[in-house]
Amino acid sequence: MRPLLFLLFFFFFGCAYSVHMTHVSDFSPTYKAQNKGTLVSAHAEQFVVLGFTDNTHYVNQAYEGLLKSCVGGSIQGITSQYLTSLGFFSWTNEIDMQGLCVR
Amino acid sequence: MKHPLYILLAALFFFSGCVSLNSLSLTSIPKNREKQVRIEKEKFIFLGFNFDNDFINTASEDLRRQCPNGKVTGLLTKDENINYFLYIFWKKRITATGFCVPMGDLAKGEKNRRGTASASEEPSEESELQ
Amino acid sequence: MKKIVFILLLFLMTNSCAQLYHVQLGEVISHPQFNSQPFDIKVSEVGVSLEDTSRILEATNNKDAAQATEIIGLFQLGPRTGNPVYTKNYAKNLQKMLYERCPSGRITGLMSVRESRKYPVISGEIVKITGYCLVPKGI
Repeated sequence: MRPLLFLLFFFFFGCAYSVHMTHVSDFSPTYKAQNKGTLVSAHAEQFVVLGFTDNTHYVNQAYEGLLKSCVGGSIQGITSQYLTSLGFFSWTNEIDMQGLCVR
Repeated sequence: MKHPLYILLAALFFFSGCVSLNSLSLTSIPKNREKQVRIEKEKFIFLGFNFDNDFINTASEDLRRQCPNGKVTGLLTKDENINYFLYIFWKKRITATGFCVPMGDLAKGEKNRRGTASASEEPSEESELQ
Repeated sequence: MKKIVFILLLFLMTNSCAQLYHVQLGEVISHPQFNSQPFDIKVSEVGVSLEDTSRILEATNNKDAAQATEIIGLFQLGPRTGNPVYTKNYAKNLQKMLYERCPSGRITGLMSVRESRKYPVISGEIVKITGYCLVPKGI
């Protein structure tokens, strides 16, 4: 019975996340309504074991992904979210960026 | 023969540091992305002995110097900690990467929005909102 | 006496401790031709503190369950802000919510807040965005 209980616990409580911060950028200078642009987004992540990592390039990857998704346009109201997916002596840092691409 | 190799490996390991991200922010991204600007400010800290954060005071000034007569926008700012050894020796690093949009471009954009030939006026908040 | 203790305990358990983790402010524009209508968006998710759970279980002599909780804790290691939550998408639709509050897109004075309200064992992990929607005068 106890091993089954442990297994059930792992199944239901395995995926835990910690949302660190969410930031919304300004809507200036474009100030456009949602139907005047296209919603674009970018995501990047970094798998870390025991905290051993020498860079935070995943942030720059998400940033460049967002830039590439809106070439020749400006991006307003960018929401940036930084969270960590917790795990067994390891975790995954994730960045999500979303904005309105106005051309 | 083996011991110096292990020492070297341990040294390489510790001096590379474990990096973690504290926070980030991103401002709205411009159309003109020709000129990129970047600043990096860091401070080495021993234990918790940090008596001021003046190292970041010149960040805006450095960006302004890289972009004279322009607007720095699309700024991605990162606040990182680099742990060398058990937070006994560690470093605080602030990096900001963005784009410099020349004033000429801003005025051109203003002219397009207004649909007039007057390019001599400074861009104003009024027409951005209307 | 027992009633007073019970009421006090109930009072303590239903009042939360608020903790602020992160605040950021954006540019603020006031314009004579526009009215600034404030709005706020709040999304939250329940966070669970396994450390509190384990302590309570140990205090109530439930050592097996406390041990199980500690083992689960080993699967939730990593940098933390507040208590861990079990869904990561609760703050993903902020873009859409912002445009729902202000369809014109004339948004200014944005403040992003990451905070939590702590109760025994559980907490509310909150993301709050406040701002102003500029509406032309006369509408």
